[in-house]
Amino acid sequence: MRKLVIAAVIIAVALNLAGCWSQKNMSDLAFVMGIGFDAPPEGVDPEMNEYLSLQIAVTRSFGQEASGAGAEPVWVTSALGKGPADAEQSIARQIGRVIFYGHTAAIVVGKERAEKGLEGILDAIERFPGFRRSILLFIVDGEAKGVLEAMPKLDQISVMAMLRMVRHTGITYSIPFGDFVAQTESEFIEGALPITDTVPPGGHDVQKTRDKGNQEGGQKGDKEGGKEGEGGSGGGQGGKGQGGDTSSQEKIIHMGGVAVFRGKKMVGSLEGSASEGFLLFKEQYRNIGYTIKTQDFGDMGVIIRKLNVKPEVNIVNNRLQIRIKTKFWASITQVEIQQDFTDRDVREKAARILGDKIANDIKLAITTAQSYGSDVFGFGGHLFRKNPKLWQKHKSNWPELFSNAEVHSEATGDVIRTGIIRRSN
Amino acid sequence: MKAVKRMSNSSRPPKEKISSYQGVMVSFAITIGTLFITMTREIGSISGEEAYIAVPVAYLISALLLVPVFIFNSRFPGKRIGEYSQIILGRFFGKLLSLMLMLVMVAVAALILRNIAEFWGAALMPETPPWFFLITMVILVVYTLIKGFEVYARVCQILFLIVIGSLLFLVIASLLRMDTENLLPVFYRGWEPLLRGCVRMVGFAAQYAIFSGVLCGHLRDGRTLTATGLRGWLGAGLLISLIMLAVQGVFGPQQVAKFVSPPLELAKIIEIGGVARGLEALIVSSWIIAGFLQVSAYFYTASILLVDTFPRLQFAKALLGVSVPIFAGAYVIRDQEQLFALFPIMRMYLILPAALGAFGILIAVAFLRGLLKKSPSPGRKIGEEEEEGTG
Repeated sequence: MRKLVIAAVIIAVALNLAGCWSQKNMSDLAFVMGIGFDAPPEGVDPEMNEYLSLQIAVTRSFGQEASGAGAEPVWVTSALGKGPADAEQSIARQIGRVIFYGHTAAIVVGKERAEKGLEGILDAIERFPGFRRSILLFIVDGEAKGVLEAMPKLDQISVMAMLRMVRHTGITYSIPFGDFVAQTESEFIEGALPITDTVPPGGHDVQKTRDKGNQEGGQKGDKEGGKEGEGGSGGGQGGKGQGGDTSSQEKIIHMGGVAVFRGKKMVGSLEGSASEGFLLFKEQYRNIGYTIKTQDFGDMGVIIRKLNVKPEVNIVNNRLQIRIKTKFWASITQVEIQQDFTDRDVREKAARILGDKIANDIKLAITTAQSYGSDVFGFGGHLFRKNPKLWQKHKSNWPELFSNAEVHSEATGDVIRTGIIRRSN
Repeated sequence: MKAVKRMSNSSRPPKEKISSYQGVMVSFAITIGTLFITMTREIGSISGEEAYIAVPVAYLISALLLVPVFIFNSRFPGKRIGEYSQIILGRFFGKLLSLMLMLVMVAVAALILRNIAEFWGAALMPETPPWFFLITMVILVVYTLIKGFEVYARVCQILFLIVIGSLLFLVIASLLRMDTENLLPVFYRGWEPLLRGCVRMVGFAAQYAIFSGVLCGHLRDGRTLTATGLRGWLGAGLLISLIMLAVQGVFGPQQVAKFVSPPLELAKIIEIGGVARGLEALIVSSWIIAGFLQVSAYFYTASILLVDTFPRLQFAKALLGVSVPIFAGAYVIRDQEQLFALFPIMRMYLILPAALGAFGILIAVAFLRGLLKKSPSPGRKIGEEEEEGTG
């Protein structure tokens, strides 16, 4: 009996050594690097709510790259569907491989799609065990598919460039998918996501300048062209100027502002100084250059080494009062007007100017968010932790209270370094 | 007294003895096991912000449930609950009580077995059917236990260190991600959430009390049971409290209540230096080991209670006998949600009343019969006195 059992075990083990029953060969898989969600194009079946794009690694190209032959490292394919799962099925029918999300680095959502609400998308991602909660989610100022198709110069794949921007350079708001979902489901805070877009390799500002120039030049060109029969000069190149060609140029990734949500619906964005104010509040604006236009120092560049933001919230006479106290430690990286930083007064003046700028940026971020009625700063949570009973009393009309809140922002700090020179001659 | 005489003449297997340290590790296996995988969610949803306080408080309070076990161990050294219940209540009622506890442990083992299978499938092998995990686990458990309790204790002694290591690693690795704001405010809804969380945990302590009633018969030095039992219970309490603190600190009470398994989600987001990712496969594997060790303890408890009820039954046959209903019970559970619904019902309305009832009756009858009094001659045991008296 014992021998029989041992023989049965040996046979069972030997038969199973060939491999597991649900094995998947590498060649059968389509490795998804990035996922994009856009609003469906106009004119399609109204039942089709989702326009899904998958950035799939072309595994064949890796071998070619090793041998020196150039090939696209990724291929972006799209499909329409009634929801994320349906659209994914449509793509699966196109590619004939098992879609594998184990290497997915980022998910991008077009702004137009985000404004409709992310309920279905977030649920599908969160429910699927193959995704990590640390995956990154971005809002695209334009089409998500465009970002997936972008060709960064220093990375092979656009989503990898995006990850590097968030993780290593820290130039944009960094929030893992799981934390964003928690925010959208919380009653104490609203969600926020980084905004990205694509620009020509020359850079975003050049593009903007050109666009502006095209508009102005185009208008001018139209006028002058009407007179002289040729395009205008200056920033643009007339009605048929360069602006028309930029769409066909190679695009690279650019990080922009911060998308603001109410629930799971995008309601607005924080741009420029408001976006910087938001990052300062979240204490994510560290070791990043910060430029201030000043009267005494000209263009002053600083790096904020350390930040400590303390919000205080209270309700007085049924009005929410928000007070932000910020303490910073900064280094000077550039001044335009000669300064002697050995003088303590000069350092203090620089710190005061920087403090005013920080306080104003934070206030601008809050007032902009107030205009959307979206408490992306989590002041509700602060009130809840400070006075849970007061929070229970006011939580039902919190968006209204937040929108009408009185905001005070102050920032004090020190200039702790002035680079490797002490005074400019 | 006839019962005692028959017991002493029965053909039951010799009691294998384990050291106090092995006893602690076996206690860890049954008290930690896979409990933290789902318990953190349950307590998180019941107690909210107070969940991380409820767990250690519950462990401290419910240590009281172990007091009857310690008392009976001091009065009936070297005897299991299935043995001294027959001395206290008489043969028929003692066996009835053992049988009832055996059925309770079979039911709990079925739930735990299914829970391991669900977790194994959800975390590592989503395409594999649950029956495969159930059969694999039952074969492993039977193979280990058939070699004897001592072998099982040695397996625990080695393998459970890996489990403890993985849990401590998870707690330490999550420290940087913890947000103290997720732990506040507390007690703003009064004491109710805390107490409700504690009551849920007490049901689990009842399971451990029954198991300790069996474990006490296996300790090489019976006098160490109090220290062993408390070390096992409170050490496990400390570890599970740390896990609860980590998941609540990282995710917040709202998200903890939403996840199927908060520690699994925690394991999935752990990164070391932005480089070492995907460690959950290793961590989860150690948790499946924990599940195997835990369910083995329940299989053993049920089998030995059956042997104590029917002394002529061989342990191997008893083990196979309880394996069938445990497997069947685990298999018939329809889905994960049914499993999660059954756990609290079972703990609150079956295990807790059964344990309280059993130990309550034993204490009361032993007191009325004067069996709780100190032995007149030191070193002599009540069971021995009675056996001698009847002989």
